[in-house]
Amino acid sequence: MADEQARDDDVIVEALTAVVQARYGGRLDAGQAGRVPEIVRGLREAVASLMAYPLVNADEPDPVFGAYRGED
Amino acid sequence: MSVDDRTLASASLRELGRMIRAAEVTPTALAEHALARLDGDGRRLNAVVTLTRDRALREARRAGEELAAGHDRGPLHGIPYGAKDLLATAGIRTTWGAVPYGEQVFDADATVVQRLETAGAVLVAKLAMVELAGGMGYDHPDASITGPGLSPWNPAAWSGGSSSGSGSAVGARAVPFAIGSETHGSITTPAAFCGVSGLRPTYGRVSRHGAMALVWTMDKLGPMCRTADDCGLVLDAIAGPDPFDPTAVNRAYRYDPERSRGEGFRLGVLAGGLEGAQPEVAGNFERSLDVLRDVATLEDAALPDLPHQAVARIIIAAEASAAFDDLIGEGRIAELTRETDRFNPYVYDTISAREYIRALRIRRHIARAMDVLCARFDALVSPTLSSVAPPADESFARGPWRRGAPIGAAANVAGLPAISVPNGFGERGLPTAIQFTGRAFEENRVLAVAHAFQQRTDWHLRLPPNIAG
Repeated sequence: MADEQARDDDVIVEALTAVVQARYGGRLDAGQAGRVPEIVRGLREAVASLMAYPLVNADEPDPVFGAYRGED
Repeated sequence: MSVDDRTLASASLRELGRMIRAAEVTPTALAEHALARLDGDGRRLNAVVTLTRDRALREARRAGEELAAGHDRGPLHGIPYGAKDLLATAGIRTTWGAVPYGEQVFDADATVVQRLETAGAVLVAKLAMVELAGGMGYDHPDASITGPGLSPWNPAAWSGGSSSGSGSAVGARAVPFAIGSETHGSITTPAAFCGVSGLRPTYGRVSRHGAMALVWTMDKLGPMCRTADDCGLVLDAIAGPDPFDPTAVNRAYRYDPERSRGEGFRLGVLAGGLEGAQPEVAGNFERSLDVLRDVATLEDAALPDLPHQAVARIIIAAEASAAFDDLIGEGRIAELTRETDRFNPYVYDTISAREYIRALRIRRHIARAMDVLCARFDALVSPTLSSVAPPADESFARGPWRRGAPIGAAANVAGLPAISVPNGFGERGLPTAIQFTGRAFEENRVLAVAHAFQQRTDWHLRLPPNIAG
């Protein structure tokens, strides 16, 4: 099970690295491109922590938006 | 001027105010003194971006004239200060610490700068900072247009970031106070590394209008000073609602030390706060607790079990990359100083909207859980950081420097106030610090605890080698 999860994680890291390469590859040198997977993996680990935390439909973010009405 | 350099370097804001009103020193002489110190020690420590000489002398002259005419604007009247170079100042460049903005000039002052002018304070310098307040993921002290910020206690060590110049200029006693900003550790870290008192106000307590936006939902502006009492005086001048910043809350703030308790505090000692701490940090913290036992009861406190660090990481990455969408989109991050900052933000594109919003939803749980915890105490107490400042020429991403503030993520995500004050020295002669974190909008409680600590210790009065000789 753990092996399967690790394999899935690797696939996602690889796919997201490919997204970064597709969008910005022309701006990255070899050294920078080589470090992208480790940064993607770090973000995925953070996201995994968020996904492991249970939330329900009623859990809202704290919005700052307010309806705007200008001068009449 | 009849006051010697050492006296000026040691004086609190109240003492400087008394000297001005007793005609022992003039605001112009104080401004000239600060400008000279910044031009010397300040520049040696890479703390200065721009000296605002013309404005300083104009404001100082006006302060002197007003006071002579009996118009007293209060405790900051005639006092020089420096502003982190992410605060807009009319007609004076504001670099955000970054090469792409090296010649940027705004036509109006940030609200905080306006409020300090109204209070009679004298702007003497725009102070150095980590490029874009560190939001691009920097990992080395050299990530700044002005080079690595250096500690006044040991110039081979980093001053901390991202309010590097605010910390080192106050620590070197070149200015009585400075304004810094914090998204995640950017006031408390340089305060700890430079041996000064740094107050991170509650999110929304101080208007962000005119300040560089990094993370809209986490950015805070606050004072860095010689004492906790000084921090209260400065906060009193800059706090309050602002029609130009919808997140600036409509709550009155008054610093009122006379009505604050001086003892009988209830403090929560953060569990795990010493995990991985350097021996001197741990020893100084334990001795600080002994001091606090004179004025407080100490109880164990544990952070709620929530993904604080992950929430902070995702919110910062998502909002910082959005805030600099233009710079990133145009590829101009390649002009940034630090290699990591030149490509790291591209990876932030991999965070989805759903993931960002999930982080915001969990933050609501964190804020409520932290409020329940903080409501039990006047303050939570912890070492500000687990180590003294790292060397200025090494990456801090690995090794003993990797571990950040024990409570930093939870408190910053929840927008809670905290003050860091010096509590001793560690390896290489560098300061260590203790932090008091409070319930939202309870700045006066954390200030009262820190003030009581400073009345029983003298770490905040110690002078760095450039002054002490």
